[in-house]
Amino acid sequence: MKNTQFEEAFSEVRLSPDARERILEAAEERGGTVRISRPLKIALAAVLAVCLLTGTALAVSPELRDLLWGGFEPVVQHFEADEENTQVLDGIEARLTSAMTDGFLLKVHVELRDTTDANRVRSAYEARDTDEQGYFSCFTSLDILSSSGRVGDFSDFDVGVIERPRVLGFDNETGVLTVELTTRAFNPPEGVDRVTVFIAGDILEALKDHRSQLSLFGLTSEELAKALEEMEESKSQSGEPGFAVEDAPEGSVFPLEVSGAELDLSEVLKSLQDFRSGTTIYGWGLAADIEGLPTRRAQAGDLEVVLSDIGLAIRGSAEDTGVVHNGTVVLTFSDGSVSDASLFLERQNGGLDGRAVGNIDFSAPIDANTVVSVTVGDRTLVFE
Amino acid sequence: MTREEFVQALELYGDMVYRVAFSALGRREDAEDAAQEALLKLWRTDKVFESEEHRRFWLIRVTVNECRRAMRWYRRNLAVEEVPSEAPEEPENELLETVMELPEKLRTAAYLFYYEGYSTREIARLVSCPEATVRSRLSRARERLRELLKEEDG
Repeated sequence: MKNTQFEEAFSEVRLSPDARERILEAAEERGGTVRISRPLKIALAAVLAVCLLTGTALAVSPELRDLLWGGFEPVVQHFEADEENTQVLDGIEARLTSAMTDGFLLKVHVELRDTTDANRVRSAYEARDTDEQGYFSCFTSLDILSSSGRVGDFSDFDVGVIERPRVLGFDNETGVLTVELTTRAFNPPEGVDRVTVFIAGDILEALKDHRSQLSLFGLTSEELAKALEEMEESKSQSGEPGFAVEDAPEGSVFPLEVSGAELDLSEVLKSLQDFRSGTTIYGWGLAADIEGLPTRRAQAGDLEVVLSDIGLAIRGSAEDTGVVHNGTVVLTFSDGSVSDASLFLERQNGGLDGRAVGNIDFSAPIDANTVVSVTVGDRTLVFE
Repeated sequence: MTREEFVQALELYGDMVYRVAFSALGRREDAEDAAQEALLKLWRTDKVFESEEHRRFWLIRVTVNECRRAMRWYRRNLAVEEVPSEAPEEPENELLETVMELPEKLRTAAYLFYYEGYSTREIARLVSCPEATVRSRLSRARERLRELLKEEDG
């Protein structure tokens, strides 16, 4: 078959006028461009103002590091540098400095520094492809693995959510670049108390090449064990050598107790990447244990909401897909005030195990304990 | 993006987005849904594109992801017998019917290569897989199409 034949084959495949009309109607119903809402804009403006005062793009003092999180600071965990959260690869040091999660939203800040004289971080920063809000527009796969996230479907990116990292700043004096990475799970696990974070992929390359890939993994220890089990099973079925727990080399970089064995998590990460694409993706494995923020749950029939200070997950039956993915969501607080959609910064939709799932991130933290009810579409779910 | 700009974008990219979705999903109704979601993402994004080519590439990438999301939904929400088969319903013409007999991954790679004119490196970025995999898919697609066309001629 030649190109012309292909063109002939698809030439009659066109979007119908009816479909065009429906898309226009849907666009008008859903409103226009989603922009960062006021509270976060204020926080970012504060960071920029301080940066200007200091005369550098970003001075990574602890105080300014705090500012990077804006109003989220009270719910963020900071990590002292240690051998688990800091790794040097090819002379580039990557350090996971802080993070927050409620079990379904995971956000981490990473600092990058060139330990050689090559100034590669600076070069990457200067060559970056960013938009007006500081996101560098690489195509990024950010994954949360879960036992129900079908680890075995890696080749289909079945657990992936496409996101963009955000450049928070570059310190001219220290040569430190700070980026923010975000991912969401479609299946908020119950009672998450610890999440281990992995980052794979070359952030510098991602920064320079807007189509590079980067992966962020957040795993609970149970999920990690399950992932390894499924990989082992899948590989043994395909006749390929499996990743065996006992294969973990001595001198583990990131020791973690899984199924009674000490594992080198960087090897686990490498193995996950090998399994995923058949090739090893260059990158760092940074690990940090993060305590999950408390969540509240409310239910009405098949519809359920999981609320934390930083976000909201809505789950419903397949029949609820429309309202879960596109319905208006209004929070009612104990003082009688209500929030509208302007509160929400990001919305991600998906489906899992026969259920529709929608995740919403708040642009500024709330006190989840003061929320009385959540109205999704025409249904109100009351917290007890 | 204003409504007028969106109407223009719909005019410019509507067919392309729909074809990408159709080549992946093989069913008119599903392809329209995926195309709608992809185009609405364009409507809602505040992204500044460096060029039309950048916007086109971004839109195809979003469409591919929407199709994956749809396929994921089928697998999780429908019983096996309800999951749409890979073969299209009511094919438009014989050539298209032949192309749509290819497995989804092969025909998406073939469509992006032959119709949209992307290189194997660009397709690798669009569908998030190694370039070697794209080359392999294209090779298998060509081989399979040759067989299918021979069968039809015979």
